[in-house]
Amino acid sequence: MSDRWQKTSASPTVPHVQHGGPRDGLTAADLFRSPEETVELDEKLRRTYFWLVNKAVISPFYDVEFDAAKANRFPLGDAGAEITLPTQPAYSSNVLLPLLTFAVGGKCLMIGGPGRGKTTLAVLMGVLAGATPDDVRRHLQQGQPQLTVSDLVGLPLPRDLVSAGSLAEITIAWKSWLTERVKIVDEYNRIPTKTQSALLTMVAEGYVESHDQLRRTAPAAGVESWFFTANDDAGGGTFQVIQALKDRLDVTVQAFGFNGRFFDELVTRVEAGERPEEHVPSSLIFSPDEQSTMLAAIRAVPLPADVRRRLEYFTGQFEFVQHGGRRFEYRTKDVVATAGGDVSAVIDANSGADLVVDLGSQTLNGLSVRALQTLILYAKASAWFRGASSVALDDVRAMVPFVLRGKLLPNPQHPRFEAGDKELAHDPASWLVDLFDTAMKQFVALGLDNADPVGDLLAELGGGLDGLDRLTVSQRLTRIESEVGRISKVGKIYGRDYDDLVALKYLHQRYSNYLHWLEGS
Amino acid sequence: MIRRPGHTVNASVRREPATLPSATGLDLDLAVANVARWGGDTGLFGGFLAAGLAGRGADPIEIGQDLAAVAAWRAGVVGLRADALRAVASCLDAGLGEAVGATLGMPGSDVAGFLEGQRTDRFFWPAWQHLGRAYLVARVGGFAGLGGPWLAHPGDVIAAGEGQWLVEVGDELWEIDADLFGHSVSPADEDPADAGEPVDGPGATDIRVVSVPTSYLLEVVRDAA
Repeated sequence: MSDRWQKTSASPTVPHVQHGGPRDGLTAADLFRSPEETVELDEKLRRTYFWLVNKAVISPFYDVEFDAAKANRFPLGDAGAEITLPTQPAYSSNVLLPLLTFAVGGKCLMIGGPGRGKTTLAVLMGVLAGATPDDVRRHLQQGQPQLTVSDLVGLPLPRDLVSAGSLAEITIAWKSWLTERVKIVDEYNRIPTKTQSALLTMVAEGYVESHDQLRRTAPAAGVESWFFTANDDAGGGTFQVIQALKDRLDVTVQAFGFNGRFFDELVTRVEAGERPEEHVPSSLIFSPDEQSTMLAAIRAVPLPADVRRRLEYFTGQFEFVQHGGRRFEYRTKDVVATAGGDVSAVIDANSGADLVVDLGSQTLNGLSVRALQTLILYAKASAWFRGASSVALDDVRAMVPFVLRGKLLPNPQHPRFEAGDKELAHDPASWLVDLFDTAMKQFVALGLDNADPVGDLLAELGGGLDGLDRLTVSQRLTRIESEVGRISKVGKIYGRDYDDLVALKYLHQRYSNYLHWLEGS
Repeated sequence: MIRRPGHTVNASVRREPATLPSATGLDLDLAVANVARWGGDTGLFGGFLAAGLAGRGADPIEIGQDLAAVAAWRAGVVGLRADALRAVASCLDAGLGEAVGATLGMPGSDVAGFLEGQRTDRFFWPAWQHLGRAYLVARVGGFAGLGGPWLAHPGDVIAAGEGQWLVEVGDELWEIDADLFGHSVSPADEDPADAGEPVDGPGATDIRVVSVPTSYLLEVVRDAA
């Protein structure tokens, strides 16, 4: 009966990428290796994805789409719904994102109502790392209102508590889950605040502390990944999740319900009394070395300059707010928020800007460096998973709604969330994709693909200052001032200009300091 | 008649059903499966390997592996080219000129010259040395509906290195890697704008890939000397 679980894709999962086999690199020994032995890690991860999505959790929701422009679109109903039929392979986010998290050693929050396969998926990730299903379940931390720090990390031995002369003499019986490669915290929004803080130390710093003693939580080998589940992402649950812990979660993904058209599989499972985590094919288990190799390969996927430029444009929209402060550098949402101000009201006070054009007015905050790093890493993982040699804009677009959910907060007072687009107020994933698409349309409309004067100036400086004469430096300073003057003449300032102006000031400082040095020497 | 991808060097090969030989310690069924997986012709592989191993006793496993690699390259697995050239040299050093010659489909006395020619010209074949006219080396690509890779007619072809070309097919860029016996066609990583000026391969500047108006196949041709 268990054989039906063992079938994995025998053919390559990326269609027709090769007619005629590899172009080079084969050896005589390769002729006598079975395909299973020579399967590449990205192919193995794709096979794992298809096994998970087709056999283990039955998730026919293909919401992560690529090459959206070529998709066939069909309007549905009278409320603006449409279904898209993409021509490129699409993926189910609630399986793909946990799997990419497993690959990059990230932290994934799975949200959704009870019985939607969140915990099952998390347990499957543990089994993919080589643990037995029983061990994974034993190590799973079940969030509940009485969960103490000791429940989470371990107990001091009672014998030592009585006889020890100092804290250093107390032996802590650390919990064995602490050093597992896959760590699972179920219903994390039911954990008391103090215990959440201990969890934060583990997630953020990689250690736990108890009775003045410290234990590192990184596994001995391989890559560490975290999976959290919650049935609420809006501050509900038994305890409010502390913001610092939420900020540490790399991606948030919605678990989908069960599609009634796949009842036959459900009936089979009930009749056989089977659980998918007990039937993971051995060919899909990742060793610690394989995980480390996989992470190194993902990090090595290049992010081309044109994709990086568009990403810069998108992420540069959100920090600036016109009335955030007096000095130009202080006109940011963070300055307003940290001073206890109302960011919505400050945005609203900017009567000079077009709220439709100003994408920054749709958010209450900017993006943290951590969020940007996560976006880059997951975009690389997406490209690697799809068998691409470099990151495409589609990879960034695909990861935006999951990486930025909960990190880029919508401004509820913005007209975008009124009238016909009210549903965006409670569908952050769609809103974030919409925000990204709008930014990319603006980028094209502004002709930024062809002209990037600030980028050119930065690249010039990147060439170094050594050997530059006064005349060259003066010419560059003039070009910088001219560029600042050009932006100044427009009259309106948007988030996209803020980053450019700060960079231009930086360049001006570097060159003028160098000129002073030249003149003094 | 529907034209298919293929290499002219195989046009005169007699295709007779050959029983797969046995070689001590080698799983030749697995090798056949891999040849098929890498786009080689399993019939040619079996035939050339049988010819190479004919009459041989229990060779060391390395010799069997080397002859199999040469047979697989001869059957169209272009990815084996570098290792197969090494294997040919290794067999010659071991005094196995006749065996490796049979595996390549030529007299053993021609193998040294063939190896030398191949090192500078991946389309070198002794019998074509003095033809004195242009000739077809291979047809590659083809319409997806007939088992090829392309949904559109191949457009401009740019030489990208020795035995390498980039071709625009619709709005996609594809890479062709070919030699005398086989070829590989795959989506290119490179942007057409970055492809730059055509590159001449060392020793093979007279090899061109041309698009034919009436076919989705590209023709690899050698100009007259």
